Amino acid sequence: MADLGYICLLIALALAVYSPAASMIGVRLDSRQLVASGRRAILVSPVVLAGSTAGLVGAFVTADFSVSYVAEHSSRAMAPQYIWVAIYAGNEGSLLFISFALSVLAALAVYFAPAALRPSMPHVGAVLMAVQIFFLAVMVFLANPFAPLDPVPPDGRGINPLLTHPGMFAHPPMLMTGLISFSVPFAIVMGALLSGRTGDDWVDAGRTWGIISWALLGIGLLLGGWWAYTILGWGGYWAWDPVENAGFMPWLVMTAFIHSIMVQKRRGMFRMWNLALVIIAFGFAQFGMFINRGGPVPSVHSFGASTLGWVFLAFMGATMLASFAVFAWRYNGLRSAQTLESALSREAAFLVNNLLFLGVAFVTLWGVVYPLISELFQGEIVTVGQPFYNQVNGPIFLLLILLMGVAPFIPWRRAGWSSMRRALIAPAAAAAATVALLVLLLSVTVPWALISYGLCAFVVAGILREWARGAHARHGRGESYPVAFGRLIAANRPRYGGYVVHLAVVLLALGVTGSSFYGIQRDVALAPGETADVGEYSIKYVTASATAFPDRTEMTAEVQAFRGDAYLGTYYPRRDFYPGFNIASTQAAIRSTPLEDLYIIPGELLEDGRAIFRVYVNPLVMWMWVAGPMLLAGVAVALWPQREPAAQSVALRGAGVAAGSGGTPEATAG
Amino acid sequence: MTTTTGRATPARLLLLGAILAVASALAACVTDAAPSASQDMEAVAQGIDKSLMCPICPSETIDQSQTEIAEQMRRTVREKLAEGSSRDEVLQFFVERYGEDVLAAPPKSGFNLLAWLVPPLALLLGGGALALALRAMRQEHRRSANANGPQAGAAGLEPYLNAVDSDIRSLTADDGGRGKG
Amino acid sequence: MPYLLGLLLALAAAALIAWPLLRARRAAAPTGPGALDALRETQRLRRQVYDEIRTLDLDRELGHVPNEQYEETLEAHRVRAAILLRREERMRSELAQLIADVEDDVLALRLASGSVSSTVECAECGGRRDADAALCPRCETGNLDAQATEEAAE
Repeated sequence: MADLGYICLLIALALAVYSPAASMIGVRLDSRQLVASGRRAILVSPVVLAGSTAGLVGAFVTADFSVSYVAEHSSRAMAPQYIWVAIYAGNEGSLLFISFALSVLAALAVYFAPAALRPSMPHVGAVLMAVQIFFLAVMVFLANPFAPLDPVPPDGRGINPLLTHPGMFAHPPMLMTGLISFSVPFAIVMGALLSGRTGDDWVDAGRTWGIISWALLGIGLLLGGWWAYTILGWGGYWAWDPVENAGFMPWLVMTAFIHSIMVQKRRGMFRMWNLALVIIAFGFAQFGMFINRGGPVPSVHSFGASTLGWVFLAFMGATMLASFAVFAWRYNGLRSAQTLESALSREAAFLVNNLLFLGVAFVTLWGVVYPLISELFQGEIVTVGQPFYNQVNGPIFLLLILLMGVAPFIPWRRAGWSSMRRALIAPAAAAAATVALLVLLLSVTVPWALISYGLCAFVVAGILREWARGAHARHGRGESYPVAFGRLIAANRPRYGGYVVHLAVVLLALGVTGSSFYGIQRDVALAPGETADVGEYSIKYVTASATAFPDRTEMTAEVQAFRGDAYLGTYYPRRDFYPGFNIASTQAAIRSTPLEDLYIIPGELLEDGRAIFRVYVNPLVMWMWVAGPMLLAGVAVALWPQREPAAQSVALRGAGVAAGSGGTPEATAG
Repeated sequence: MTTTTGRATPARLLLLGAILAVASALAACVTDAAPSASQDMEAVAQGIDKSLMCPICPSETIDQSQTEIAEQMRRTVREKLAEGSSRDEVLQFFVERYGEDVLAAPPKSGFNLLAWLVPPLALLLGGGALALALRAMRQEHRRSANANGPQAGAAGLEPYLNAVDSDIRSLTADDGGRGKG
Repeated sequence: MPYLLGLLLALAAAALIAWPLLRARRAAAPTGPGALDALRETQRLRRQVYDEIRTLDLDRELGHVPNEQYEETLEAHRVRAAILLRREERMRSELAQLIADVEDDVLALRLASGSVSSTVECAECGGRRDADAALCPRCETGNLDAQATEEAAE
């Protein structure tokens, strides 16, 4: 099995080398056959890499410990469903996974390329496969997932226990797919630059793939937060850890891009800027993969770490250099007159959005590299952690939410102050009312939390107002409200899909604000039968039991939760200790309600029979997990293809104006 | 500002009422902003927990970390606070013991001020560049608007305008039609 | 065994990617910027203006654009679209002329080589064409009327 996997890897590498060569020579010689052959190679490679992945899976299934990767990341005691996790648990396997994901994405991008992109497709495919060459070459020459192990050990080392959690089935593959999917918009942009078709041909495909990769990475990050919340046992979901930041930065830049590309789609402006944004986003995605693979900064996530990081850094430097060299080469063709009617217009609002998103990305990058700068210039190691990011990025995020509330009311080209004022009264009133209610009824007093919730109400009221007015206008023309609402969305998909995503962002903001400012935390040591109060809740420790497994010991505590006198249920938080790794992993007991989560983490058992618990009450966190599906729904609406208006004017096709000039063979307009 | 020109619509009244409510509420929270110290000691301690790194685990605060040393440090924080030390004194105690990098964020003094000043400066710089770009684009717009008037080359367009109108009608027909062309 | 499977897979992949190379060489279609590209670009620009008009409609409906600004902007968009449409029209007739010229050349060559014996004038568009062809290559209208006139002439 392993041999077959390795052979497939070699075939894939051959295909990856052949494809760009054939395409580029084909373009140079004007040979359609060569170009078609290069395209075929892209379509074939996912099949070959699937063979390679199957080889690795086969080795895991047959417990073939003569393969070093299998011996490192599995054992006979491992439950079979964790084979899926083991595939990407280490460096070599995750490279194979990334390479496979890239080949699938590349094949999809090539197969579904729209007609407008066809002339530059040879270049797009060549860039995709050039990226693929890197991953395959690293596997073949530096980090072979099928490397043999001699002598063959009787049993494997086992999987990292932190990875044996349902969240691990989805989060790492999603994150890796998200990061590598940035190659597709990057290739589309580079294809446009290389082929010299730097006009607006690439815009639709670039936007579609930009949004897809943005959504993949976004969901990957959210799943990461969910995993951290339910297993890492500190009651949080985001720690501004270097690895998390490295996944976050490309997402921020891509967010900027999927907004500003709308200006090019509608008005043909900001061409150079959009191209540059995609290139930067891809650079950050590579930076993310570099940090993931043993960068210079310590992180809780560096279980796949190795010295391979420096190869990734070199690749990142080389691609960025080459990209901007091509950019400079095409510079003259990229310049176009940018005209703006007013600084108060949708176009300008998108630019402000870009400034803020790039600002957050910059702050985050600055926080990641500052320790290195400090070490270099003052010879002193410092830590840049959560307090820094919360204090610096927090206000920028609030500004972004404010912009999210105002921008929908700013029309293209220019806005009038009076209509803006009219539109903003209702949302502003909603915001003020929310703040007043929070202060008076719930006695919320933290200014930042009040600002955040006020802004959330502002955004939601604004979006609801847009929906209501749109539906009402249509209703006035004889449509029933549901039909009017549906048609309203169907007729303006990018905008209304965007609003749904904005609502998802508001949900995230609710959860983040609630849990950061109003979370309650208590550490308690309880003897069996004792009760402790945490906020409005009280928890009673009943008993604990320990079960021994070949690879771990599970300590399960039985805890009853009450609110006041009302019994809420019995919960079983668990703490697993893995002697082989000297790692303890906890399975928190979480009672999730829309209002707040009661979150219980078991600590160690003390010698006197007491057990330590950390209990959190985290308000509104559940809404953060609702945001994920909502975000996907918004993306689906925004990407759902709109009926393209006919290429030829309806009236031209009829007798209309065209009669004078004689019949025109339709085929020419094809 | 808005009330000088506007009529008293319900929305405006609501806005006014809400603003008054917020103002009174804020005044209320300022007056009881000093809660009893004993009650809040744990909150201060948890704040300190979140600002101190665990010296042996990579990028985890002692609040997050479940290692022995983190637990020890959490205890020390509470002991120090109970002895009457201030937040800064507790932090200083740990800096002297473990070095500057035990703090979760660089201190806002000396060279490390750089860490805090660069982000706002960068944003200001970016904002300035954006303002300049917007100005240049607006000037470009005025220039092109002056160069060729809005109706340049509009003579003899009638049949084409009609064609455009019928195109738009057919395009918007399946969106449910538009009000009036 | 795995080596054999691998070899088979490699051969299959090679066959698949070599297949387009083995097919008969067809004349390369014109690629790169040309008259057709310019036409498509103009069409795309016109679609963009239509999109802007849709958005403008929506924004007026939602009350973001005051009426006089709406009328003014709509008028500008209409004029822009009409200018683009006129440009398209010109390009189209230039293209049609180009095709007609090529058809004439082809017809002359075929007459010279003897593969076409007689030509007629198309009743629909007035161009000359092969008397036996079923369709006029220029206007793609049927040949029935033309045949009728030809028979009458005989």
